[in-house]
Amino acid sequence: MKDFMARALDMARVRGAQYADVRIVHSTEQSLSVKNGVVDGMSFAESLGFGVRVLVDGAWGFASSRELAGEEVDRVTALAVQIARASALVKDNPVSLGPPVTSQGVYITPIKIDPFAIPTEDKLALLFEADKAMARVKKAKVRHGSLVFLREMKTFANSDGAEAQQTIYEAGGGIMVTAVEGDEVQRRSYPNSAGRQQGTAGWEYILDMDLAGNGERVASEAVALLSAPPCPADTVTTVILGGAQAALQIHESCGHPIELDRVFGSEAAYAGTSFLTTEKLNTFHYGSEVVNVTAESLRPTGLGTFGWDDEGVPAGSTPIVRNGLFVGYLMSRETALRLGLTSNGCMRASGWNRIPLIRMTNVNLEPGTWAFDDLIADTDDGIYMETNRSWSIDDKRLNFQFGTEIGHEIKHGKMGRILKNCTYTGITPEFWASCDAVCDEKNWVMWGTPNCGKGQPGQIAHTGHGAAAARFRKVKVGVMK
Amino acid sequence: MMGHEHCQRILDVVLSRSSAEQTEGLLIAQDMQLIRFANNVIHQNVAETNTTLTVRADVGKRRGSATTNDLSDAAIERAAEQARAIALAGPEDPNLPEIPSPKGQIQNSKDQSSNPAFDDSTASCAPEFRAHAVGEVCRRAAEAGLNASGAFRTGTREWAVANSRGLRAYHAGTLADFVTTAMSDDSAGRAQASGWRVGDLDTSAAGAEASDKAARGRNPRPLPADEYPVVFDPYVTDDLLNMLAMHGMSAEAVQEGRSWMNDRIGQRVMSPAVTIWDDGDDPSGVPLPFDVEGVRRQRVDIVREGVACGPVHSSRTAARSGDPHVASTGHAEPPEYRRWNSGPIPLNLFMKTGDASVAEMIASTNAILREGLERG
Repeated sequence: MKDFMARALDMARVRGAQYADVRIVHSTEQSLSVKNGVVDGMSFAESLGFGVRVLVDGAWGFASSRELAGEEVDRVTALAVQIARASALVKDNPVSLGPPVTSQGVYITPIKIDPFAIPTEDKLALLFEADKAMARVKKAKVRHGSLVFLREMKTFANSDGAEAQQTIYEAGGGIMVTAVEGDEVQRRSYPNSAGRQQGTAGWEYILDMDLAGNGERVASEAVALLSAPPCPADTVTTVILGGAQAALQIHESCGHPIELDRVFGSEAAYAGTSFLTTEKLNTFHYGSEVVNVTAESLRPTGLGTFGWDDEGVPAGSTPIVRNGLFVGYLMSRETALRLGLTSNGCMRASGWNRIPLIRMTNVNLEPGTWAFDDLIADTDDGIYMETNRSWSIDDKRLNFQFGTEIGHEIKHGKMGRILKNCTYTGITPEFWASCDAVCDEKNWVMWGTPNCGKGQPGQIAHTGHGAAAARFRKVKVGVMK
Repeated sequence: MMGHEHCQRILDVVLSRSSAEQTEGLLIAQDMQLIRFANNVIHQNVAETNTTLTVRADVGKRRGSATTNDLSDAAIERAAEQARAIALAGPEDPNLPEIPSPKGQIQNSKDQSSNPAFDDSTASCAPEFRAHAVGEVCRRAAEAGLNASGAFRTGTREWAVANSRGLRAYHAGTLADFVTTAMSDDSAGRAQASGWRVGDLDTSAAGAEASDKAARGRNPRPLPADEYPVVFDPYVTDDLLNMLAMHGMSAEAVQEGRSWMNDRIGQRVMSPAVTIWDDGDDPSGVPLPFDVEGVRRQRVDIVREGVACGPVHSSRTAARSGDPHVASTGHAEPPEYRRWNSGPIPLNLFMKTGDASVAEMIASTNAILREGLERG
């Protein structure tokens, strides 16, 4: 493998590249799903290949192939150089990368139980047990449970002299119930929306979810939602977001706008730009005093936790919002240099056949000081909303509307009846400025978002968002039109 | 390009090495190159060569699946065994349909030379060709004081299916897509072009269309929140059609009660001006004559003059329907759609044109023209 990578780097140099890197990635994925008591899908997938990225005449080129053979690495590297020269036909300032990156080492996700060593029969038994628990509720129309396990072995080398190997494990699972009555369709998921919670972890992560122990509750809630009153329409009230919904709120309204490539316009034609333009760094009040956001790639189980990013930059931690003030971006080597900074290790590719892009690592809302029960008791009138159901946000990441699977009325410091079709809307900095309380470490969970889309060709990134429940004042809810 | 014979040779290895009762091999090979541009410069420029093999193995009423992109004989055998082992690990599914039979399907369909959806110049399109086209769009946007961004993709895709019941199918197609957005400080315009022949794409005209929209949209005035008639331009209508497809044109969505056509099949659900169908053979889109099970794609009317006609089926949803008259329409979903739980899906979708131009529609009503949708 070392010779193979050296051959790519040498070939790039000979053909005129001022910089080159090569990644060999071998990914393995097992997925299982059970729907209404029947196996809905069981698959095992492996993908192996390499990608070569070169900088020639100040412009980027990238080519990739599944075939790890000597002649193919020559062809692919030559193609990457040809592509870079074509890029240079339409460029402005030549790309610079700043100080060399020379990382060396080996990283393996710390896991207790290798999920690939667990027999498939045991995984199915866990899903069938959860299905049986959901089936106790008769009106649950569709019961769905799923598990997914990933292992990604990646070797990186660059022309600066870096050489790093890492093996990342991920485990994910969840259940979801859909209840239907006439035109009414309601769903509940556990532990997270869209059917699963995921983390860099082993089989122990799945066991801790206790899917079967939550099956009946989730199904009962889905059915109860069919006849629940709707979220009050066009009302301004206090909203407490559960941790998983707070995580999604961070992802969409904080994580995406701090991607520095997006700020510089590189996603303009596809998923938009950002309102957090560079003159706002260290001057803009993103939220209230209790809002502290950190981007890091170190904390256990985070989907953004690794040894090095795909430019070989080591994992680390960057303050993004401190006491409400906006102080940091997610950066690559190239974009950081444009601000006179160095990369904080956020370049990630979804596979060997994709270039690294600036992606969220773990973008976390740091825990506050409130116990969850105290926060509810302190709220006279409002709605507790949990588990994301829908999201919509404009192309600057400012104007948003989110919906949750379930809401709970809060009256005089107590949780009351459940509410269906809960939605809320806001403008990002106004919304975060209205945050007056964040729950403490006991309520804080590292949530996983394994479906973050960006780039063309499309890339699905897995990002982490530590969050606890948080309270927001004067929020417009129930906007259905 | 793998080519027809190479694909079939690999699939023959799958069938000869599998010890399952029934086996199916699906090969999807692609050779794609794509440029992205923003701020009137190229900032990403990539190429990918990949082939994935998916083996489905049936043992009685049990099914397992394994995917690999290692096409060595040993790896193929491993994948076949893995699929069988997965099948054996699960319980029986009483509704599991048989792997499709070759009866009525395409047998060793058109080869590359006679294929109406394959274009040599698109397959061999060089990075410099795409760069020059993008360069012209960027230069003209810059001259108009606008910021152009977008993507230009060309490449080939091959699909090959073989199963132990004797079904064989192969299709090679080319693909060319261009999309651009031109922006000023307070406006934006989008245009796109796609098909299977790069020579048919007028990238320069698309760039001009986007720039013209951005120029016309300058100095917008605020619009009070209210209800208005809205005219969607064709790109927005395309987005809406895709959403309708993802959220309800599949028999799986109907069977699970989550489709917009649930309890409304045979009823008027849209304006009589709306007629929507899928036709895998129509070369004015991007044709693909069979699905990932090798079943011939039928033309399916989804909505006819506003009336919901019914969803598209795979062999699995057809079996689940319990109706012996319901068969797969050739719309089993490709692997990349499975993560979205879409179920069977139409991939060459058409909406019947009306009799008015966008300009005429705007002239006939006090409407808002919508030229883009935001993405989450």
